[in-house]
Order: sequence, then structure tokens, then C-alpha cells
Amino acid sequence: MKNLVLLIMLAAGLYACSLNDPMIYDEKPSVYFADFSDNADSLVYSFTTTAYDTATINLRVKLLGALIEDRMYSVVINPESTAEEGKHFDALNDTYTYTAGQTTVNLPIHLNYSPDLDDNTVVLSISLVANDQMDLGYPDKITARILITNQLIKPVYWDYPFSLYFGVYSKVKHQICTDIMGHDFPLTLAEARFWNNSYTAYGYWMHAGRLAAVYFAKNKVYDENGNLINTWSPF
Amino acid sequence: MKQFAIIFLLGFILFGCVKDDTVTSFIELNEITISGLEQKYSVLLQSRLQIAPEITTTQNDDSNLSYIWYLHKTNAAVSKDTISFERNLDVVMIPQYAVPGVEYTLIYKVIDNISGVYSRIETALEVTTPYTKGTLLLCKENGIPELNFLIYDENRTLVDNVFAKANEGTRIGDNPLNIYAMDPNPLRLYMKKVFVACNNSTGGYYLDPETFEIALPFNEGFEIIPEENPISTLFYKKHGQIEYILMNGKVRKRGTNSGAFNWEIPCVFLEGETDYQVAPFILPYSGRTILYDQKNQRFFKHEPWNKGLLIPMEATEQGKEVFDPNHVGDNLELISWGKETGNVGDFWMLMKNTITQQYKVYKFNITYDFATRKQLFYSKEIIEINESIAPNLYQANSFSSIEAENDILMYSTKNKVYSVNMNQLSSGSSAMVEAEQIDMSVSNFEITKMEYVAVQVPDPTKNDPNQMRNANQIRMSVIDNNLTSLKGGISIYEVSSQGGLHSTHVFTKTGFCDEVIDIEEKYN
Repeated sequence: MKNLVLLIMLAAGLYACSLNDPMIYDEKPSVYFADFSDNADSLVYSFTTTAYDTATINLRVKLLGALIEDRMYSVVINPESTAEEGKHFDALNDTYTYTAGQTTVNLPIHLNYSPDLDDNTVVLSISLVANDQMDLGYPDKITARILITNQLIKPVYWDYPFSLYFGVYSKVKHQICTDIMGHDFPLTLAEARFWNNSYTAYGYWMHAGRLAAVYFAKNKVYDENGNLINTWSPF
Repeated sequence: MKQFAIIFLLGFILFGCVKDDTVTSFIELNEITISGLEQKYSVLLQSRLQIAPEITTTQNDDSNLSYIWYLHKTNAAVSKDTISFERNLDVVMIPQYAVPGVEYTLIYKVIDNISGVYSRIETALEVTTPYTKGTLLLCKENGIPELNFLIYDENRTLVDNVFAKANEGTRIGDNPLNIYAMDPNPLRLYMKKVFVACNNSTGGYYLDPETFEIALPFNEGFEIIPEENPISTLFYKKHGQIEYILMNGKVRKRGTNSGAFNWEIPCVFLEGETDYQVAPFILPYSGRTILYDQKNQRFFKHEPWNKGLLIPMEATEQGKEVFDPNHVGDNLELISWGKETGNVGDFWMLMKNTITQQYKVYKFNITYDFATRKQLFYSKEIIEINESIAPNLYQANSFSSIEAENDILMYSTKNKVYSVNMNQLSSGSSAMVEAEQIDMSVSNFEITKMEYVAVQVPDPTKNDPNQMRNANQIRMSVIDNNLTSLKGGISIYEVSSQGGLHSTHVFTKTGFCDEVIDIEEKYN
């Protein structure tokens, strides 16, 4: 009797089950910039970091969805750009190939040095646009702003952790540190952490920071705003 | 329908029934008692550890017992290794189980297979090699530097040429200076090394602390390989969370507690003279690290501990009245310093004028000022030492003091060791304060080097055969003129202050080298 009751209750319970709709992406494949967002400048490039007059930077483009065959995605240059085509950068293609099977592809941007970059910074603003083959991914990750200059650029990682070694930033200090070290600071923190292909690169920056601190202890130097560059307690 | 509903409801009611598993019969437990284990076991690596515990049970029945022996590092019980399932332990202690220099806890668990109840007992375990504990002797034989080792056994057995045996075809290096047994962080075993400091291009070697095989040339243990050549390290010390070496006149540190193995680049001055030459001493001050700059004749401190900044000492005008910590004098060489009995922060410093050869004692105080949150320097007095005060000081060739002991300076001449109590020295007094501690001339010995050090020595008891105690010792490198060759050796005396400062002979051994350059205790 007990079993019969159980059986009846089980049957009632099972009746409530229904087939779940499969949750798969069935929209048109979309693209977006892997590393950038609307909230900040995407990338700063300075020709002070290279001995050459041209440079290629790669913007990573990611896929939302799946591709079984290559497709083309489109880019446009936004009107807010102050960089000039042919002068500061090579013309972009209207479309680029997204290779099937790749989760990320590179969008190459070829930059050119121009003397006006010695005193100025220009902006190249690029957006991904939808076309008949590909849509746009996350709406806040479809625009990249590239700042191009030949001036010293404050490394994005200076405030942390490099202020531990080099103190408060100023362009004058930056230039003097470059002279002391014989090279500029690398573009990214990842490069700095692995400087000279060493996993203990922080020892190198510690050394450079102390040399710089001694220099400013011995020499009275003013920054670009007329303020005395004070010594700091080097890490 | 009504019947169906009744049946349906009845089904629910039936679900309320449960089977009663209440146990009404009780089993008497066969309680287990373990005894016969010692508080601590010490076993040589690769040798057998045998323990036969006594097990008693309330039912006098051990037929249903199972056993397990396992161990773990005492400081880190995360990883446990089972080493036996036998009643009595009889295993060869291999490195996979335990390594020398680490404290282990050995656990023995006896389980009643019927009830599941168990009893367990813990004991301490230590694994050693012949080289785990003893005295390192950096020596020279036929002009060639070598390492010898005195084992902590009844006879203080000397093992000759341990470096050469471990490193075929390699020499220690020219100009050996000192030897250090480094074990700064028990949680970072890779930092445990024997460091042989030499004045040469590599600065010496790091050696494996158990085998004395070369682990690394010293100059490769830096964040940036030093440019100095030769590299000369005259002082090493662990101080708080970091370690220091005073190398080629510069202060270098590494973050011990954070496990940083490599030495950093030299610390720097940003105030006053930026170039400096540090004297090979660190003041036994419990706060900041305080040192002396021989080049500029000034005190300075390393602050904060985790950065690379050196700062001159600060003093009020009153504090500088007797002498200025930022310019103590001219042509002075720091010979020794130490704490003085009196106010907290009182110190003495023995200085020698390199031109006149005159010795003077400088007394000072360093006090933490809460208002400025800085250490402030107060000069107290300068006392000239002449022959009436310390008749043999001017013939001395070795000077030494113990960091933890107030007032006492030891120094040695060719044959004798003397002590001076700095607290008895005062300006204007010409009373003799020198006391003879040891006369080696009666044994026809010469003293080539003397150190006054605080060490730990074996003090075995019935309960703990490995017990150690603290001792202050005078350790001398000697030449035994009773021998015709291999005259070098050591002689050790223990110093006690009971009934007045006096020294008692502990141990002498000669005839194994031409000269002993340095002596160092190795505790693990």
C-alpha cells in the first residue's frame, strides 16, 4: 500500500517535468576589443621607446559566438581623431579578416613618427562597426583610443608600484631617470616585471631607483612646473 | 473518490513511521594506553629509527588493534607522512620522510578495530647528519684554505677537509675571511647555507649545510651581480626581519622574513656625504640598525627597515656637546663597541687614532624621542686609555665584545687574553681596570685571533639528551709551539661572572692545520 502511494506521488511529480530549451548562442557572430573600454584611453604610444620612425601596434579583437568559416569585420576612424592618415598612421582597411577557429585576432595599426609629435600628442580613435557578416559585441568595448606622441609618457604603473623606487612623477625626473638608466621605462607593467628577461627584475628597478635618488640628492633640479624635485626614501 | 483520498492521506501518515534503532545493549571499550616513548628522538639520516612502545589495554586483548606511525613538520602540520603500520617502529630515516635541520612531530596512533576508538601519542623527532651540529673551522694548511668540522660528540671528533671531500678538485678560494652558518628563516629552508667569505672575485661560496657541497658562488646570490672585485664581506648579521652584510664598505640587506635570497644593491645616503665606508659592526641597539661610517667619521642608521635609505644620526645641541655623532673626530678607527650598564640606551665605543695610535673610549646614549619620533644621540664623555688603565691594550691584536652582555671588552695579545669593564672607566680616573683572563704562554701557545661570543653548548639531561644551554666563550685560534708542524688549532674557554669575571678551560685541539682563520657554531 505504501508503495502504491509512493508510486502515485512519483508519477505526479514527474508530470511536472518538461524539456528545457537548449541555451546556445544563435545570434550573428560579434566582435569587440578585448582590452579596451569606453572608460579610459586605450593605449599610449611614444616614439621615445624606440629607435625607429615607424611602429606597429596590435589591438586584440575578440569573438562573441563561433565561426565555422572566416568572416570579415569592419572598422572606422572616428571624427574625433586628431591623428592624420598618411602622416601619423597608415590608412586602415575597411575590413579585416576574422579567422575561423580563433578566439582572438590582431588588428594591426601602423604608426609613423612625425616631428610635430615632439611637442604634441595626437589621438587616433577607431571603432568596430557592424556589417552583414558580423555584429558588435559588448557596446562599451567597441572603441579604442590610441594616443601617439614623441614625448615622455608617464608609465601607467608609475604611481604603483614604481613610485616606491622613483618617488613622485615629473617629466624632468622621467628624462633624468632615462638618462641614468640608458633607456626609457617599458610601456607596460608586465614588461617591467620581466625586464631583461629576468623574473627578479624588481632588483634592477631598485638599483635604478637608488641611483636616481642619489642623483637628486646631489643635484638641485626643478621639474617642468618649477618645483624642486625632492629626494624620496627609495625602496 | 473518497476512498482514494483516504488511501492517499493514509500514505502520508505511513510516512511518519520510522524504525527505532535505539541501542539497548552496551559494549565495554577496550581502552588503550601507550607508554614508553621518549620526549624527543634524534636519528641520523639514512639510519634506522627503532621505537618499541608499551601498549596496555583494559581487556588485556591486543588482537584487534591496528597501528600507524606518521610525522609532520612541527611548524607546518599541513603535510603528514605515514612511515609505518607496525606496532613497533623500525624504519630507515630517508630524506623523503624527514630532512636535517627541521623540527618534526612523530605521532603514534593505536586503533581498536572493533570500536574504532583510538589512542595517540606525540613525540619530537630530529634528523641529523654528522654535519648537522658542530663547530666549523675555516683553516689554512700548507697555504691552502680548507674547512674542518668538529662534531658534537663526546670526543669532539674532528672531520678533516670536509670541503675538499665534498667538492673534488675545487678549492675554497684565496684569502678566506670568515665562515657563517646561516639559518635565518626556518620556514624557508633554501636560505639555510654555510657561507665561506673570501676576499676574491666571487666573494666566496654558499655551501650545502649538510654536505658542504658548493651550492652557489657568493656573487651569484645578488639581485644585480656586484661589480666590485675583489668582493670582501667582513660582517653578517640577522637583525629583525632582515639580514645585513657589510660588503666592500657598503651596507646591503635582504628581506629574510619574506624569503628573499638575493642581496640587494647597497643602501644609499641622500643627506650629507653620499659616499661612505661602513665599519664592520652593527651597534647592539634593539631599535633601528645603527652603524658607523669610517670614511666620514659619523654614526648613521638604516631606516625604514624595508627600504634602502641610510640616515645620519640626529642630536640636539646638548647631545653634541662632548662629540658630534656626525663628525666624531679625525683619523679614528672603530675597534669595538657595546652596551653599557646604566641608563637604557647607554653605549661605549673603543676608538683608535690611526695617526697617534692612541686609544680612547667614547660613551654615548641613544634614546627614542617620542615628540619627534626619532632616535636622538647624546654624547656623554671621552676617556683616554693609557697604560696605567690598561697596560696591555696597546699590545693587543684582537678585540671583541658580546652584543647581549654589558660593559665587557675582551682583547688578546700574543699570549694572553684580558678583559676591561667599561663601566669602571671614567674621565679623570687612572685606576687600572684591566684583568687577565687567560695565559696561553704557560702552554707554549700563541694567539693569532680571539673572539668573545655568545654560543649554545650541549647540556644533555636524562630526559633530553639533546638539550643545549647558553654560554659566553672566548674562542682563540692558536699556534701550538710544542709541535713541529701543523701547529694550528683552537682553544675555548667559558666565561662566567659569578664571583667576578673569570674564564674556565673547555676544550683545546691543535695539530690539524697551520692556522685557524675563523670559528663558527652550527646548530642545525
